[in-house]
Amino acid sequence: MSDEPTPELRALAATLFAAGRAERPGPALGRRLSLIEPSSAALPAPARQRQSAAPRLRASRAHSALPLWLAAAALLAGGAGLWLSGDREAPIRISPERESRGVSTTPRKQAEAAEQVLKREAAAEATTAERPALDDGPERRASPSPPRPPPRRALAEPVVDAPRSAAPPAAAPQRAETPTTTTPAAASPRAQPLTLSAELDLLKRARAALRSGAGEQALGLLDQHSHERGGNGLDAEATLLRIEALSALGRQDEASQLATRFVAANPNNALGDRARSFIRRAQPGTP
Amino acid sequence: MRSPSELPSLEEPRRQGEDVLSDPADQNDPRTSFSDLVRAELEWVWRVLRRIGLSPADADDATQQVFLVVARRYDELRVQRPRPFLYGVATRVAANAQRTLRRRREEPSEAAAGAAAHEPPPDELLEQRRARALLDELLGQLPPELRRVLVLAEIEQLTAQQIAELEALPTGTVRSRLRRARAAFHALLAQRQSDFSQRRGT
Repeated sequence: MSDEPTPELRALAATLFAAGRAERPGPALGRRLSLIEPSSAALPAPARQRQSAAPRLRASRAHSALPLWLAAAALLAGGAGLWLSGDREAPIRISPERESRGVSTTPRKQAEAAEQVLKREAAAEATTAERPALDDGPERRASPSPPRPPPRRALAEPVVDAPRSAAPPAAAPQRAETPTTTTPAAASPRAQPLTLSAELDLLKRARAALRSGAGEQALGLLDQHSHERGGNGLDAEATLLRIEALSALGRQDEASQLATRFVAANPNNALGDRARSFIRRAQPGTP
Repeated sequence: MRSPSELPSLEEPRRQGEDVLSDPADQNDPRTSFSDLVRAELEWVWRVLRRIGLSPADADDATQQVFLVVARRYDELRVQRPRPFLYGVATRVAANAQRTLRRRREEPSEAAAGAAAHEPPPDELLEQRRARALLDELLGQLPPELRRVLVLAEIEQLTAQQIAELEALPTGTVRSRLRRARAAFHALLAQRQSDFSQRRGT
């Protein structure tokens, strides 16, 4: 082998490089990533736009209280790490074949089709017992809220069980009014645990509903979440959304109760700061 | 916040050159700018992950993980150019994934992964797939530090300065690694060719 490659060799190498350059990820990846929101988007503009008397669930100081999605993303990054290091069957993965079966035109339909696929995978995922943590380097350590990725079937932290005990009686009827919740999971009698992507999507829809002023729809989605939650460490997030939704619907007492219990159960959770801030706003007299 | 139709398309060609490292996220709404960032950089991140050794499906997972990290640190990131950060996260995520894969040792072949390559299979794409299989095989024989600079230079077509920024290395080091990487790649390719013609010839 001489030091100078022949022109043919160069051309061949160039062909190979071009082939590498031409490769693209599939559309499923874009959808997966569309579920992610940045930490700073946690506290929504719609809270400012909507004219509601309800106190907003907002961090009192920009830097002291970690935004909702920062913590959620931290939890999720742990989850994503688990996918990488966990067993082969577990990762949420939409292969092009499976996806092409369910693809339809609207984003909503696509999301639901994807959810269907993901749901099937949840069954396999549920059997996964051992999930080693991924060393995510400084990012992971820098994030105070989720100490360790939870075991698959356990909650990330002792989240107040309020979603089921406090709100559902009132929220349950609303569920019927929300057509967007008629996912396969909602229809199934004993819901399977949600996969991370499905859970994230559900919460994202709940948040979107909340922002658009559809508090009842948001509650319906959160009810769905509380029935099917996947143990992905998003229960705290769901609880906070519920607090916000109850508050937006004018159900301040329930919201405050839930927030109080959440804080009591999660004294060190970064999301607890947000709940505390909510309590302060809801009840100016209390510290 | 802009409507989705105004967002830059994934297919939007990215000019090579000095703007390749520029920050696409300059809107005020963090959600919009984050999704712009995802759109603008998703393919780049994925492709880098692919070429530094992950299967398509693993690259999907790793890309998602990269953007989850980005989402978490988005405030810090917005004041900077994203690619060095993205690249740093991506290489670390890839290293973790590869460690796991080595442990598991059931790495999907490119043939199996081909199904996940998300492309229709007309002849030329099959050709491309074979070319990529060879590319990955040869790249896989390079030491990781040479592989990375070669990928950034030849596939992503970045300049030595840009690579130096991503790799946090002096430009001179990048140049010398690049020389070694090219020489090694050409040698491997030549070896492959002669193996092939020997099998054919005899």
